[in-house]
Amino acid sequence: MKAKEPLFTGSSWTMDLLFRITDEVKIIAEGELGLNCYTNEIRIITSEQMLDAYAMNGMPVNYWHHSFGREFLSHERSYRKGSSLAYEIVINTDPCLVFCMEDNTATMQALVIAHAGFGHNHFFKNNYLFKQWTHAHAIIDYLEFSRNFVAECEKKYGIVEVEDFLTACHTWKYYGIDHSPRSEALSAVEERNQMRERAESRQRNLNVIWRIIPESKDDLDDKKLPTFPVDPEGNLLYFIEKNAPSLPDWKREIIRIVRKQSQYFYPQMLTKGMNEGFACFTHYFIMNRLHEKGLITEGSWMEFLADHTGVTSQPDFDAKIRVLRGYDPSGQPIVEEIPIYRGINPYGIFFAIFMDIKRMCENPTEEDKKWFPEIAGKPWLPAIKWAVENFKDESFLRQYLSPKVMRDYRLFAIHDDEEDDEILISAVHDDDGYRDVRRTIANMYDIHEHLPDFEVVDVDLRGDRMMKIRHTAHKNKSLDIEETKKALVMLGKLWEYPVTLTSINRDGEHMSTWVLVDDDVEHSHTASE
Amino acid sequence: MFSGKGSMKLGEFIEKSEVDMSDYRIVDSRKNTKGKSLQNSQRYIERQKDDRKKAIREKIAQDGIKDLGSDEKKRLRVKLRGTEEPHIGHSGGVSDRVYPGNKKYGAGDRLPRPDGGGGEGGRDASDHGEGDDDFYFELSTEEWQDAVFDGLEIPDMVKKFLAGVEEFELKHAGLTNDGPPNKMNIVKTMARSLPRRTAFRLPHMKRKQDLEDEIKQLEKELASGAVADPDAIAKRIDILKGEVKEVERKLASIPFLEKHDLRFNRHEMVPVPIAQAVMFCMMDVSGSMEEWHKEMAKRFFLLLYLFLRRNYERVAVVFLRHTTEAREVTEEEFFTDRDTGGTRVSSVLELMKEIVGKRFPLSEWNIYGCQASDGDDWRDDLPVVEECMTESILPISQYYAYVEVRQTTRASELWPTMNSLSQIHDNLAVALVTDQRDIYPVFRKLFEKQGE
Repeated sequence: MKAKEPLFTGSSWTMDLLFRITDEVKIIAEGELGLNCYTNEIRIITSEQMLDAYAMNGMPVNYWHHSFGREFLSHERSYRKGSSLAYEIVINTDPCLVFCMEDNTATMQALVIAHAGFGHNHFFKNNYLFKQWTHAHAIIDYLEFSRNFVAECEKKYGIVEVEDFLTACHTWKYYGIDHSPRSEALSAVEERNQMRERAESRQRNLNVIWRIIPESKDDLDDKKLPTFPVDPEGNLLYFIEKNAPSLPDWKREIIRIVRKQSQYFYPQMLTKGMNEGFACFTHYFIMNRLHEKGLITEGSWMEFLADHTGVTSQPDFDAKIRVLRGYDPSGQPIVEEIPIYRGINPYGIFFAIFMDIKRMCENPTEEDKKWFPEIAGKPWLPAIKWAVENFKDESFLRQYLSPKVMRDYRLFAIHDDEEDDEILISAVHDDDGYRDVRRTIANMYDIHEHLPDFEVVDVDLRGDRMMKIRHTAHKNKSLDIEETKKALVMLGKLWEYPVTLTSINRDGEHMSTWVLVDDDVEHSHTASE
Repeated sequence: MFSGKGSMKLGEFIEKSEVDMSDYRIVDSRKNTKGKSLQNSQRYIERQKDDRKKAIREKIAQDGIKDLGSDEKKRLRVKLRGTEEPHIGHSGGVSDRVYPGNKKYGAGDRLPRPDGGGGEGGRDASDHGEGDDDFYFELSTEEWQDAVFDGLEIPDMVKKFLAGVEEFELKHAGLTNDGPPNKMNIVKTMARSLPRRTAFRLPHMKRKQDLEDEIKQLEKELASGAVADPDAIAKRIDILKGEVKEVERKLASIPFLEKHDLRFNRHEMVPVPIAQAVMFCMMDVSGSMEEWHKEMAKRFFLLLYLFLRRNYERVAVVFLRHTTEAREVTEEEFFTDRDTGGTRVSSVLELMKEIVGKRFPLSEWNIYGCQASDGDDWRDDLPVVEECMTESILPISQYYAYVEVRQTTRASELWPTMNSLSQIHDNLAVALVTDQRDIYPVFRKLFEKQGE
């Protein structure tokens, strides 16, 4: 082993040192791991700038909106109260923007450059969802276009009018996502041209909703009109943008802007765990190699291990910390136990699975050979890269969560039915339970678990243009009645005509109905209790 | 916990040359504009301001205004709404979840549902709950009054402030390059002249010194007689002396003062605003005014007083009460004592005119009148009131408010007179208060910013 001088000995850094660190990290990331990354643009920022970045959805450019201000103020307040900020923020752009905090020590800078600049960066460039859904080279242009467009609208129609419309769009932003592939993203200039063309073509072609002219009264009663849309549409914002009967063009364009941002974040929603897990795997490998090469000191290595362990640790479901709150009159300490479990830490389990894939390739056990014949004993680097390229959180867990990791984490599954007083332990980490636990945890990462399933099923073309939306309850989960009312009022601002929402359970039985007419929502239960 | 730890297989050492090192950038962005969120934050705060005002207005309509003037009530809490986006989500139903850290459970075990903590559903709920609690605001008295008085302005106050000022003051307003000799700032001028002269003289002084040294040297040599060519040296001395003369001429030509050096004091005429106002509170305390009427009137006076106090450095208040005769009283007497008798409104107007004439010269004071009455007056007095208002009160008043407090809708004697006057005179406003809830809206209406 070639002994080298350590790159640094203290915790302070200079710009020159960052270049030397990045060079060494890059040698390992690209030379040894063979990562294929976008060009990195690493920017050193202050904590204030980090707060700014937090508040704008992590985007370097965005339109103005008071909700971002609310985010900013609340982050700022918790930062002032002492909670820490992220060490870095990385953005899926080409070149890849990596924001590193100036407060980071030299060791931390090496860690975050490895983690974000190479781990996340490789993931962005190679994962199938990102390839399919986002266009890293076009996003900044598009954000600039949308910022300018929104600013232009604010000048014409007033800030409050535009902001309120955006608020309505934001409420429904998760229903602005396409689930089938689309065409190449456009540059800002192309966007502008297309916007003009769209506006012109709308002028030329009458909206389909206005085009329905009854032939005669008799016909109307007899003839059964096909539903509109013919097939249910899950992308509500798309449907409204294209079909709202009397929405002005600028509002359609704003819906489109919100829709596009949602779409851009869609792969990140589906791959958060894997993305972090792989970035941790990358930084762990690179920091190890820097240590082995003698490029970082023992002290720096210990600092790294402490940080890494903090980031990847997984408290047990019942873990508590004990906090001394004072002493009672008899001198006995008053201790408060505070639960610290905050759900499954994606940095932890996904990192563990990536490490486990490598282990199974290098040192497979009999169990591994039985469970994972396709990777056990094979070269690890191609196996890891294949996983990165072809999975999302849900399918990744289904494919790669091994009995070994389930045992290490002591995972168990529960079945919680609100109609039942007790919770059932449905499976644990044993031979009978591995597959059930794995299926259950994978389902937790299914997007439908969190997002209720809404579809536009019909518009009343003959009558008052009421848009009918169907909610299909997932596992009989009902909607929060009051919040749904408010959300429907928001939807009414987009559609501008009455809206009904019907909730049905998996057997197709009606559960409840919301009817929105003129900003008033009526709710009624239809299910028999 | 991590099985992979320590089993890392070493890769081959790779040299720099094998990896393209030119394709990344590190940029120090710390100097770039921060505060990108400033605009967003301001918008959010602006939104909250509206919510806050709305909440305050509702509160005033409900509670009345008696708390407003008391200094004890410093803070109040307003819960803000309307900036949160609705949250679309599930509640209840069936859920299957996985947890880490099993210690003793086996498949098929049943356990009681824990209350709250830990569960996924519980977390969702608390996330959302916090959002509601996040933005409570406590208002200081100052902020509270700001909100109450926002958008109000006494009509024509601006006019008096700007156009009506009669006093000017000369104020020092920096230095200038030009001006009359008597305004010259000697110190600043010399402070520029001296360094200029020193700087210009320096090279010449040095040259002169060198020349004189050389002459002295040559003369010494000449005197000693040990020189080969005395004529040449004498000639050289002559040349040098000529040069010294030239240098001296140049030195003399450096001016003591140049136009460039001159500095003059600048003064500006600054108008002195009339920063004091006197407010006449006038109330009918005749038998027809009951406690309820006085209570209403008091609140109205209080609002006016607080408003004036915020806009003027000094506000004097004169309390005048009247039956058939008017007299000046203390604040306490004004609100508590009760007289009986008839009503002659003109008496109080005459008293006001008299007091202004004696104690409040118009060049120094802004005059505000505020009269509360149930509208009863002797019929014979009405023409006198009209004349008095037109001739003496309205011309000297910045603003005069007539508030009629009554519980019936039946027209009073005084109302038609005052109402028709207010059509002609911009600085007279009349308003009718029939309920406690009317006070604030009436106050707003009276003092609403005009035009704009």
